[in-house]
Amino acid sequence: MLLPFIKSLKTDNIIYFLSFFIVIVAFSGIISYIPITITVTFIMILLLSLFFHIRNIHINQWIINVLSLFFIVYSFLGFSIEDIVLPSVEALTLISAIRFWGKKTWREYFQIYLLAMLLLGASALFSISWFFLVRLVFIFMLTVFSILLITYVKETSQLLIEKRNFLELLKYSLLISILSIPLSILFFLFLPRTPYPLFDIGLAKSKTGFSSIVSLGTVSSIEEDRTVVMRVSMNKINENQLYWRMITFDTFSGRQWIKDKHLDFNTFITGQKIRYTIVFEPSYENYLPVLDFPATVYLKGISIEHPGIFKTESSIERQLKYTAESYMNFILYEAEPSKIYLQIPQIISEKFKTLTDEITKNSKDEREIIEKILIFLSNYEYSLKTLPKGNNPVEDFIFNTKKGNCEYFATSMALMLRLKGIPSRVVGGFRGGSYNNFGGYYIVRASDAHLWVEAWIKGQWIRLDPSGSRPIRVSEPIIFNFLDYLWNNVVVNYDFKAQLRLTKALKKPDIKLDKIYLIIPLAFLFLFLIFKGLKFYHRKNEPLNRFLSILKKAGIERKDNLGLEEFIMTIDNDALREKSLRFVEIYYNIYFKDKKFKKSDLKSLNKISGEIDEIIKSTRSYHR
Amino acid sequence: MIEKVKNQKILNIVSHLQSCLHGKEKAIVLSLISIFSKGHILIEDLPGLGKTSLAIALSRALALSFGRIQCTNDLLPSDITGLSIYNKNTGEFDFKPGPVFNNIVLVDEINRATPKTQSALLEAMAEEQVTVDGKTYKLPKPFFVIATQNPIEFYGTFPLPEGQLDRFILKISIGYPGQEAEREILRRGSSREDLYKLESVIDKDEIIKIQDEIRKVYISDKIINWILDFIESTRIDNRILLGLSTRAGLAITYTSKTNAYFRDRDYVVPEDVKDIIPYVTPHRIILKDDSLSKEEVILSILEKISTPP
Repeated sequence: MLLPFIKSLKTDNIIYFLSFFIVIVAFSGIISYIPITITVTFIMILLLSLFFHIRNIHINQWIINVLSLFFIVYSFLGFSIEDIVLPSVEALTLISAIRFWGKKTWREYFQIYLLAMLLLGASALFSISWFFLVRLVFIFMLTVFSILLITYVKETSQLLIEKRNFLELLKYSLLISILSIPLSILFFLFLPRTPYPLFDIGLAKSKTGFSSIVSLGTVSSIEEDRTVVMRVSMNKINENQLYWRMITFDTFSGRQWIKDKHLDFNTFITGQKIRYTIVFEPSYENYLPVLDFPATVYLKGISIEHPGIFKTESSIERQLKYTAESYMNFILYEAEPSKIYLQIPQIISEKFKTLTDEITKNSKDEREIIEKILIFLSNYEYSLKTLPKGNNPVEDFIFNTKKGNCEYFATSMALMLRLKGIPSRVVGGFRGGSYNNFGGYYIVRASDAHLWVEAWIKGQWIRLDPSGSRPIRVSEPIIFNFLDYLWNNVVVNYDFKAQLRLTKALKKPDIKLDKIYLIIPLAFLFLFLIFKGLKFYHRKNEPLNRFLSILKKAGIERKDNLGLEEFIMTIDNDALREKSLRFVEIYYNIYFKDKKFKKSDLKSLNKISGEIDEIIKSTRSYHR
Repeated sequence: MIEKVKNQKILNIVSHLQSCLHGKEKAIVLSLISIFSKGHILIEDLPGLGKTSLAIALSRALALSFGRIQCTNDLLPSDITGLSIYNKNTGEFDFKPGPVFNNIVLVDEINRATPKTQSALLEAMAEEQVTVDGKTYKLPKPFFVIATQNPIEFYGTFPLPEGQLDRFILKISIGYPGQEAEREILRRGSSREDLYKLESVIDKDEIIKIQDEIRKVYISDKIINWILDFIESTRIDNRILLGLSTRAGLAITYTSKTNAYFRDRDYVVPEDVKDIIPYVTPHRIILKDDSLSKEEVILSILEKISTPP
C-alpha cells in the first residue's frame, strides 16, 4: 500500500552513469587511434570504478593523483617530436577514467566532463567525420543534464529525485541544448578560422592514390580498402564512361610500371565537355583523379604532367575540393606517338612472344589483334588473392596461376600489343563508383582503383579494358554516405575563404547547398506540424474539452481547482445542470475507473454535449 | 454532506439516527465514514452539544456494545484497559476487562487524562489489542473510539501532541444545532432512556462486510497523484511547519473510498476527496503562525492545485 507513494530515483547513481556514458562516448572517438594496451587499461579502470561505486569504496585522492602522474609519464615515455598528440591523448584517456575512483563530489564530476570534452576535441585531430558532430551533441546534452542534476542535488541536498522532477530537469537540459544550436551556428559561421589546421599530425594513413611507380600487386592492397576516395557531384552518366584518370605509365621494367618521361604535347581531343566538382580525400600522393578524358582542372598550383594528367605541387594531405571539365565520348588524336610506347622489358621470354603470335595469327588488321587478345584474356580469372609475384609476374600470371587483378590483365595486354607493334600504355585511376541519387553525386572508393590499357591505332588512342568483365558496384547505403557528404561539404570544407565570401555577400552564402538538402528539415518540420495539429485537433475534440468549451461559450467557465462535479453544481440553470451532471457522471465512470473511452462512449458523451449546446441556445433566444 | 449520501444501507442508518439526534446530520455521516474506514474520530467541541448522545445512538443503531471513559488527571491506564484481580476461590488472577473492551468507546475529554493514560489508550487504538500483566487481549471488532476534547478550558489539561492526533482519522466539531432542530430538542426534551431503547438497523457482520466492500472501491492513479500533489504542497508551503505524513495520505485515500461508497459509487472521484480533506488533514499539520486557522490554510492549498481531469 505504501509503495505507490514512493517513486524516486537515486540521483547519485544517475549522475554516475551519465558521467560514465559521457566518458565512453568521448572515448569512442579515439578508440581506433590509440594502442590496444591503453584501451584495455581504460576499460579495466572503468570496470573497477563500477565495482567501487557499487561497493561504495572511495580511493584516496592522493593515490589518484599519483596514478594520473604516472599515466602522463608512462604515455610520454615513447614520445617523439613528430607525434606529441598521441601520448597526450593516451594520458588524457586514462586520467579521465581514473577520476571515477575517488569520492565523487561535483568538483570531480566537472573535472570528468572537462576531460571528456578535451578527449572529444583531441579526437577531431585524428578524424573529422560527421560522427564528431553526433558525439558532440551527445556529450553536450548529457553534460548539461548531468550538471543540472548535480546542481539540483547540491541545492536540495536530497539523495532521491522524484520521477516528476527528473523529467522536469531533462526537459530543461534539452531546452538549453536546443537553444544553443542557433548560437553555435552563428559562431561557426563568423568566428575567425585559418585556412591551415592548427596541428597537422601526419598520422600514417593508407595511401589511396597512385605514385609514379606501380609494382605489380600493390594495387590489389588498395582494392581491398573500402574507404571513400572521392565524391563527385555531377549528373549520372553511362557506367561505361566512368573511368577516372590519374596517371599513365609508359615503361615496364618487368615488375613495375614507371612513368618515365614527360612527353610532348601534340595530342588533339574532340568530344563534348561536361563540368563537375570533386571532393578528393587525402591520398598523400600528387595525382588528381579526373574523369576520362580530362580537359581542365580549376585549382591553383597544379601542373599538367602530360595531356590529361594533373599533379599538385605537394602531396595531398588534406581534403581537396576542385571543379574539373572532361570530354565525353572523346576521340584522342595523336599523329605519331613516342617510341617508348613500344618498349618491352628484357625479361619477356620467347615463350610469351610465341604465345602472342599464336593468339593473334591470321589477323587482318590491328582491330582484330586487339579483339583476339581481349578474347584470350577473358578466359583468365579475376582475383585479388594469391597474386603472382616473383621476378617475372606477368608470365607467371599468363602461364601458371591464370588468376590476377587488373594490373596483370592490363600489363599482359599492353605487352602483347607492343609485341605486335601497336603502341600502348597503361592508365591508372579508378573505375566506376556508385551514384547517390539523393545527393546527386558519385562515391568512388579505394576498392575502385583500376588499371586499364590505351592503344594507338590509326592515329587515335583508344581505351581497352581487358579486366572489364569485373563487376561494378551499383548500390550503396545511401543515407550515411549522404550525411558524410553533407558534413564534409558544409562543415569541414567551410574555410576562411568561404567565410570571407559570406561576409562580403551576406545575401548569398557560398555554401553550395542544393535545394534538395532543405527537403529533409522541411519534411521533419512538416511532420512535426502535422503531429502537433493532429494532437491539437484531437484535444479539441476530446469530449471533455468540447463539453467545457460549450459551457465556456455560455459564460460558465471552470476554474482549475474545481472538480467537475463541483463546477457543475455552480450552474444556476436547472436543466443545464441536470444534463451536465449526467455528462460528468458518465465521464467520471470511465475516466476514474481508468477505462478506455470506447467509440460508443464518445458518441453518447458528444450527444450530451450537443444537447447542452441546444439548451444554451434556447435559453439565449428566450432571454432575447 | 447528507444530501450526497446515496447508498441505501447508509441512508437507512443515517435516517434512523436522525430520528433521535436532531441537527447532527453532518456529525452522523462523518462518524459513519470514520467507522467504516476502520478509523477513530476526535470531536473537539464545547460541552453540552450531544457528543455522548451521538456515541450512544451510534452504538445502539449499529448493534454494538458501548463503553465510556470519563478522563480525569488521576485516571490510570488500568482504568481503561482493565486489570487482573486475585480470585480467592480459584487462587488465580482473573482479568477484569476495562471499558475499552467495547465496540464503541467514548473517551470524554481525552485531554484531561495524563500523558501516560493517553498513550495507553492511543496504543490500544492503534494495535487493537491490550496487554495486561504480560498477557495480550484482542479488542472486539469492529473497534471504534470517539474521543472528545474541550477547546476552551486549558487549565489542568494535557493537550494531545500532533503525533498522537495523527492517529485519529477524522477530527470534527458538532457545532450548535440549527434553530429548527434546537427547538425540536427543547420541545421533546432530551431523554437518554429513548436513546438506549433505539433499535438497531444493522449488525456487526454487516458492518464488517461493508468495511470489506469499501476496501475494494477503485481508486485511480490519477486521483492518487493528485493527492500526492496536495500532500507535497503542504510540505513545501511556507506557512506550514510540519506537512502531512504518509499516514495522512493513507487516511485521505481510505476516507475517500468510504465517501465514494456512501455516494453509491465503486470508484473515487475528486469530489469524494475534496469533501473529506477538511476533516482528515487540519489536525495533522503544525503551522508556523498559530494565529492562522489550519482549515483555512488547507483549503487555500487545495484551491491552488488543479483538480483532475
